[in-house]
Amino acid sequence: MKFEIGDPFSDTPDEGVMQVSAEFVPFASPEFEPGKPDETAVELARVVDRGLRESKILDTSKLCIVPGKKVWICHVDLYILDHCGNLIDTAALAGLCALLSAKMPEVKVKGEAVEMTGKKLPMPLSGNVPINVTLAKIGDKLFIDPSFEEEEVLDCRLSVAFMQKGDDEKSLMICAMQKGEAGYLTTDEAVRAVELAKLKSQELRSLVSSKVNING
Amino acid sequence: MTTEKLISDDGIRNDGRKLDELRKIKFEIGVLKNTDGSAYVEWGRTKILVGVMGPRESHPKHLAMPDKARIDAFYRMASFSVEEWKSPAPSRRETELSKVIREALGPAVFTEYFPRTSIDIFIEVLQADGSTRCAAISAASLALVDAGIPMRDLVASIAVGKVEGQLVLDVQDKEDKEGESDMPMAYMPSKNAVTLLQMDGQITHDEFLRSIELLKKGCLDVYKMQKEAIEAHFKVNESNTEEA
Repeated sequence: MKFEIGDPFSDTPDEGVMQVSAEFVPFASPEFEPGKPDETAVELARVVDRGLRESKILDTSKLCIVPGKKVWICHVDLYILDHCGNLIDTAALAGLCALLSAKMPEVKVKGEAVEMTGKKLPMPLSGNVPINVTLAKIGDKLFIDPSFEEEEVLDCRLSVAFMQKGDDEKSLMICAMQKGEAGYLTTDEAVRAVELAKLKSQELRSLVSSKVNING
Repeated sequence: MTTEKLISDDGIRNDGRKLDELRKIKFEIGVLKNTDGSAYVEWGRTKILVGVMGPRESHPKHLAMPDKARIDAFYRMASFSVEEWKSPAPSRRETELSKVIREALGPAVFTEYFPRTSIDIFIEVLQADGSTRCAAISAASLALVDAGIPMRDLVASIAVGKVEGQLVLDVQDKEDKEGESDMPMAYMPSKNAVTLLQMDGQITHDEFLRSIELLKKGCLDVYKMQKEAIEAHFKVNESNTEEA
């Protein structure tokens, strides 16, 4: 994660900005080509962005420096270095952990000028932790955490992000969903996929909480 | 943010609709001269034009597939389609939507009938008032029909949102922006096939299950209108032939 001071969006003049991007480094896979992010990279970044944004894990109202003029732009830049399958869940976990462990620079406003104090502050986090789980449909079966080879033959995938506030299981909500690739799911399969994602998200959540403080 | 309520105490939305009521939808088929198939939709205040070119020779040629046609979709919003001027250069949102729309329509097309060709679906949003991807997919299905491309079924699409804690069918822009969630689905009724499913916002697991049921109902409503549009279109053409 990197922080930079920039202009707010005109419709949210008092809020900071979180920007998620994805770079597919060519040596990560023979399928990746150098150049501008293609639609797969754009989709990946936007799915990860949606999970983080809709969970409201980051309180962007606290990222305002001078209302209407200067706000923090938080860049979450996902670099795919070696592609062995399930990029969405991996990138979502990496982005989440980066956000949970980031420290942002402290600034002081003196008149028109914004000065860095050199100190670092904790991020304004809400404790709503989103966990993304992707199911791949192959034939009539749903596979969790698809490998590269499984992705080569899948009909389609469904990614579901479940968020929970701290340890409170009652606060469990779905905060993002994305079906991808060319095939289709029946409605029953979609319902089953969401159930499986819910179960698995709890396992991943305890893994994350064992590594970083998730309570904001 | 306005403090104006989007749903009244007796369950009426700010545009006069009931919670599970669709906007006024009008499909028109065969509206463009220079395409192989086309359709226009007015979905409330959302207005979208779709043109299909193909099956035709693939460009560039190395992208052609030996066993089936390649489908491509291009979703673009006109610079004047939204309140503030939008740069005509494709945004990341348009890139993502083009991908999911292509994936939503692909399962319906018998691509294996047209090896080595391309089918390009061009979507121009002329005016946006929410659920543009749903309107685009539903209209694109009709444009594919107009192009004479064999299909397994029509793809119908609609969105369910959560507004002030209640699930509403067919989300308009204001409900999308100020509501708690937006969940679009594209669906082939005869196969019970979900070809697009997305969600942003926050919903409980139970609300998800209820949304799926509401989405199925909404897609069937759209499906009925699509079929009526096809019948009307070919009836008009028949009577033209008789006159001639």
